[in-house]
Amino acid sequence: MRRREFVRNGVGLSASLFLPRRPWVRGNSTAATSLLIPMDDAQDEHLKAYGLAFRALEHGDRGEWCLNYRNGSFLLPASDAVLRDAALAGVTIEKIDAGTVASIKGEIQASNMDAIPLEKVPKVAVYAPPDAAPWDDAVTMVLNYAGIQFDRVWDPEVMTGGLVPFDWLHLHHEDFTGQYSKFAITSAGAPWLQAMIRLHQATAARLGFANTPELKRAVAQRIAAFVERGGFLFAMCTATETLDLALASDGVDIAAAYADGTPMDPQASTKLHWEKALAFRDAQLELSPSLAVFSDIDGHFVNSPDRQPLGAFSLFNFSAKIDPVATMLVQNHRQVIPDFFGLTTSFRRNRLKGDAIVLADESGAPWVKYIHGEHGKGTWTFFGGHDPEDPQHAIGNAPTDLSLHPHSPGYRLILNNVLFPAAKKKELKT
Amino acid sequence: MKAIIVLMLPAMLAAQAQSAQTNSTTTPMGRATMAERNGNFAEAASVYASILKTQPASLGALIGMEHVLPRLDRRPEMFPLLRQALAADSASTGVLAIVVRNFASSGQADSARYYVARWTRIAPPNADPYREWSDAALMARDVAQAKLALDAGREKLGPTALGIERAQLLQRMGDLAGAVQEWVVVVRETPPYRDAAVSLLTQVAPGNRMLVRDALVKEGSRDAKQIQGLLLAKWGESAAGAGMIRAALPADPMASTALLHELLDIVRNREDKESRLATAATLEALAAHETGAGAVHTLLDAARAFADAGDERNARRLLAVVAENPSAPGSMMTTASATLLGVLIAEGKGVEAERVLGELGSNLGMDEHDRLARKIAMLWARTGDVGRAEKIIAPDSSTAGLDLRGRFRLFVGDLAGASDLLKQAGPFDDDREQSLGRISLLTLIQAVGEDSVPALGAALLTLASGDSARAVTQLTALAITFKDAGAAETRLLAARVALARHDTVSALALLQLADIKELPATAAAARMEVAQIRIAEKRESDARGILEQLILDFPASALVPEARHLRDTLRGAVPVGGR
Repeated sequence: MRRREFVRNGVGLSASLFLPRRPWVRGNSTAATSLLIPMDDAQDEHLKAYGLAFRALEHGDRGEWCLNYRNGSFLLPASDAVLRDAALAGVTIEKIDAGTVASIKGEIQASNMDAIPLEKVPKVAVYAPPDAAPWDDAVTMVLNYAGIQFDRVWDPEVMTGGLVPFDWLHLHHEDFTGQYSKFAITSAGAPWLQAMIRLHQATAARLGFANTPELKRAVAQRIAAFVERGGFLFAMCTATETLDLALASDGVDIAAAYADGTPMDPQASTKLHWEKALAFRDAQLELSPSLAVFSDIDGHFVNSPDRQPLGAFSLFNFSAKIDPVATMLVQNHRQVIPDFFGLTTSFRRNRLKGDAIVLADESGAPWVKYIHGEHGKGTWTFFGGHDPEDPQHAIGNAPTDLSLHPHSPGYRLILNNVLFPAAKKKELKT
Repeated sequence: MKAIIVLMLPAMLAAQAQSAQTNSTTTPMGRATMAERNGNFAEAASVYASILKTQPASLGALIGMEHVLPRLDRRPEMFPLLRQALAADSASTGVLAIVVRNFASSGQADSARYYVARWTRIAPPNADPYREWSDAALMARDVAQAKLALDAGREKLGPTALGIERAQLLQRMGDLAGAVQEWVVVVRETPPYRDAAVSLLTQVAPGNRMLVRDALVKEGSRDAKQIQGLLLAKWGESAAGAGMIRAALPADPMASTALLHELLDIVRNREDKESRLATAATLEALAAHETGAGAVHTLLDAARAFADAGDERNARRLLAVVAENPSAPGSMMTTASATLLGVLIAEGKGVEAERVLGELGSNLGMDEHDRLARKIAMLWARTGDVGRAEKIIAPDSSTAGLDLRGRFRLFVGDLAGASDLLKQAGPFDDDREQSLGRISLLTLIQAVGEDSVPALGAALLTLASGDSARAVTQLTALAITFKDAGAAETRLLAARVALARHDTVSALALLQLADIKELPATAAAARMEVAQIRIAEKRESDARGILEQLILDFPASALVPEARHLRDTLRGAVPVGGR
């Protein structure tokens, strides 16, 4: 507060004399036809830049995503609306003329780069319970911060065909095994947990299911069907691992007694149907109901005595012209990113299906961080961890303020996923 | 601390056991340890296994296996090894500890209980087996099993056994009344644990504090009141906490002093009036337990704390006690006089204060002398005698002295002289508020652009004297006589004073007049104030519009980052109160 008072009280007067008139606009072209939104270190607001591109599409503009050009820059038509939006958001833009555009296109043509047309505004849904706090989900946070509109959906909507209008669906730390993130014993009595259990049980009953695990399995199946029909799925944290466990557990009891009234089948690991899962195979389930670990898919076991320390993960480099989808998903101004915990932090290599594409991994570690694949006509992307800017995230932590992390490379990966469905479909080759 | 020591003990024993065998990498244990350190867990496991073939009860190898097998996804292999170890040495408490840990951490509570029972049969009765069991369960986040372990321990060892562990566990489980009950017993039996009890109970979420208070009130004992008093103080209720502590002091003087020091550590660094008064009263109570120069020193501290809190009556009372004490050394009398001087200044007795300062003369350090002189000077300035004020601090060339001399020049309307002195004082200061004020004054002088404006000085003196209503009127009238920049900046200042008086209507009118697009710094500041007013009025949409216009109209303003953040807060993009 004092810093702001200091600025307000007049220090800014002298400092401002040395600043350019419109600091976010670079380039002096008087005949600008396009606006380049650089995504390298010249950018002042990496995260809000995605929102700017997204809103330009909403307003009917068409743009291009220049893969690998200045770390994934955007090219938008010059318009007062975009200029105003950029000014309000603090996004750095460069006015360029037709000649410069041609020169950029030439450079893109000659290098491991590509320009992907952006023309469709993806309709975005975030799967979250109605009482979820906006600060407890990295995707909700970054969508809000970037200014990207989205709708919330939850079990009643998913079970009644509510996913049909959407192109993109995000899942965060939902436990699709229906075991309340396996906190039911360790956090017994906590008000937030009791509220969560009440809400889930009431929803299951209302939708005609005997218990929460049954409801969640059905929801997982609807989500898989959404992808199969051509939807784009992005999941983080526990939603990655438990979605696949729920899909693979058709007809197998993998839930503890506190969730469905019967103990887990001790032989469940050998009975799972991995062909129904999206990303994983052959995982061994964690048998202890009180250990907040689901299986050996996760490499880090954050809530167990076997917790592994955090390292850093590296993004893979793909061929922009041959693999534009994978290239889009890894556009970033940093190639090595500090890791961060989640209830599911990472994915063991030996638990990945053969057709899963690894987008980022930790060098030398038996786990990977960021994976992608196809299912039917759609695609899924899984990103381990809870909050890229809160590596040790614990229940009750202060919410992350993204204005303190406008260049967050981890959050950029989330936004790559949001924008990727906007890319013109015929360009997608992967 | 006890729990930490208990946790450390097995590790230390293990380390000793290992170090005896790991001096060299030529020994199997040395090779295994080195492989483990290098992350070659498979090789480490293989060598540990070979050791265990010939020495099934080797503690070092068993602990090594306990470390590496989970990393290899081979935890179940631990159990046959433990069975062999027990067959080889069924009376080893070290082996039993490892067995208990492994069963507990894998969720097999019945087996853990069985081996704890065996452990207690071969060792004299003590809490270690139950602690080992409970700690391992807690490491696995198995709170229910941890409670089972502690319940079993209490049943075996008596009604007060494992109190600290139970208190911590119950608090973690949300049973705050149970936790309080345990802590009170622990503190009654071992008073030094009061610190730990208070420290842990302090962490209870604000919404649950009442549960802790109620439980302590229900306990009702002196120990419970002492805990409650310290907790209240920690939670910011300094007066209530200090009152409760003073009413529950132990009869033993040493214990009483220790408790008062605990309270003092909590309240003495807070700057609110209530905490200062609590500090003063606690120091006075402490002085009653002391004798000689120590008691005088503590009493002086108490008097100073009363004076700092604005309680001149009690400050004078204690200073009188010090003055009558024949054992007070001369240096302390100087300190007492300096404290008295502060009281006189606070009471507005300038002549008397100047006399005491003169008497103290060189007995005071130069910095302290100058600090008190500035206070007296400000006292004179506020009464309108700026000449006398300037004379008192004429030789003071410190930053604070130059700043004050600049302000005094301003009070008489000498803007040029004021500007020189304020610039000499520079932009930095130990007192940040002072430097902010100085920058504001320089901005105002620069905007007015004249060498002498007595009416402006008079208005600012009115403000410094505390008559903010008249200052707003004077500044508003004066603004009409200035050119654009001076008028706008004067109106901005008047608006801020009006806002501080909660006169929003006048403030808004003045801010509207100060918002001149050709004067970007003032206009941006005026709009920011208006936006804040709209936010306070819950007219968030209006505030957002104002902030957006500020950003678009004055993109180079230093206020733009703050405007963007505020806008982000209003649209729910960042949490309220961030940064």
